[in-house]
Amino acid sequence: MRRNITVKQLLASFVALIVLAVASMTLNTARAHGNNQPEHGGILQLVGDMSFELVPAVDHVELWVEDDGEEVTSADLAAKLTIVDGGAKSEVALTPAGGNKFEAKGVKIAKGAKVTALLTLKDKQSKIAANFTVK
Amino acid sequence: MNRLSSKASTLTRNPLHKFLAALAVAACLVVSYSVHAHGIWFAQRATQLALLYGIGADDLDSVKRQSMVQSIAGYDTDWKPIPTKLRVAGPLLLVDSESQPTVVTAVLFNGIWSKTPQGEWLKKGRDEVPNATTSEKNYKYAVRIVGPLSGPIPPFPDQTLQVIPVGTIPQLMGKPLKLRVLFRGKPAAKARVMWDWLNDPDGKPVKTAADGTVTIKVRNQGLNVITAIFDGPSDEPTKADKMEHLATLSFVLPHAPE
Repeated sequence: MRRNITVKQLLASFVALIVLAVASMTLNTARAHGNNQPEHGGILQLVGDMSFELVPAVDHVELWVEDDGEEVTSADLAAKLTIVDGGAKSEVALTPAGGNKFEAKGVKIAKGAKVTALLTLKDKQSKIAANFTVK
Repeated sequence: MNRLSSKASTLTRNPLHKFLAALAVAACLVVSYSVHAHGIWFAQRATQLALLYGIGADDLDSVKRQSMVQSIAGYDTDWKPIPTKLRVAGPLLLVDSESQPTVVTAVLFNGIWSKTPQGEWLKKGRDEVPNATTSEKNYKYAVRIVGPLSGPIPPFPDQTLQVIPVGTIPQLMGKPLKLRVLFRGKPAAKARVMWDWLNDPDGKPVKTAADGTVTIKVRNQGLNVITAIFDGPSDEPTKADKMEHLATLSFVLPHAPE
C-alpha cells in the first residue's frame, strides 16, 4: 500500500529531529568534568578528568588541582613547572601548600611565557601535564 | 547422507556458493597479510601515554614484546632529549618521562619473517626456509606528537623511516595535511601511506611522490595514527630479501569543550 507524506508530516518530522539534536547536545554538556571557570583568579586548563589552575602572582606562583570536580590533597602528589620565556627555559619545583594547592615562592612568570605543569599522581609514577600561556 | 554432508555437497555444487567460498579464501589471505603487517604507535590509556603494538582495533600484548623495543626517547620543544623509559603497568607499556615531552619516539625490531608457499608466515630467515616466497626483516618505528610544537619536527636519529608533517597540522578533521616520508633522513619515493592505521587498516595506501610528499585528509577529531611502509635493501641477504620499515606518526586533534 502506498502512503503519501504531507508537508505537515514532513515539518513535524523535521521539528522532532531538531528536538532530538538539542536533547543530545544537552546530554553532551552534562558530561563536563569539574569547574570550567577559575576559582582563584588564575588560568584554568582541563586535561581529561583533571583541572589545573595556574595563578602567577607578583612574587610567587600557585597551582590548584582538582580531579573530576573534587579537590585532591596536594600533599599526596608532586608537581613541577617548566617555564619557557623567550629562549630561556627553567624548572620550578612546587611544594604542597595545604588542601589542593601547590606553591613556589620567589617565582615571577612573565606575560607570554609558556608553562607546563607536570603532576605526579599518588602512585608516584603516573603523570599528567597541562600547558598554559601566561597572559 | 546426513543433513550436514548434504549441505556441504550443495555448497560445492552451487556456483554462487563456490564464488562466495573463493571470496572467503581471498579475504583470509588479505587478513593473513594484515596480521603480519603490525606496527607500533602511541596512544593514551587512562590518561597515560602507552606504546602499543598491533593493527587496527587489535592492540596486542606489548609487554611481552618489550625486549624487542630497541629505543624509546622523549624530546622537549627545542628537540633536546628528555630522560624517558618504558614501564610495565598491568598489560600496558607506559611512557615515563622526567618532564613533559613534546615528542616521543620508539623503535621495535620485529625479527625476520618468511612466507611459505602455503602462505604461512614463520619467524625464520630464508636460510631456514629456503623455499620461502619472501623473507623480510621487520622494523617498526613510532613518533608521537604530544605538543605543543614550536617548529617543524626534525628527523630523529632512531627513526630510519619517519613521517613528518609539512607545515602546521590542521585542528579539524577532513582538512588536508601534507606529509613527507623520510628514509634515512632523505625523501622516500613510493612509500605507502595509510591515513588511519586504527580505523581503516585495510584501506588503499597512497604512494609518496619523488620528493617523499603526500597529501591526505586528517581522518579523526581525536587520535590519528598515520602509517608509512617502505621496503629497503636487506642488510642480511642470506636471511632476508628485504627490510620492511613501518613507521607511524600519531597526534590528537582536540575535541570541543565539554
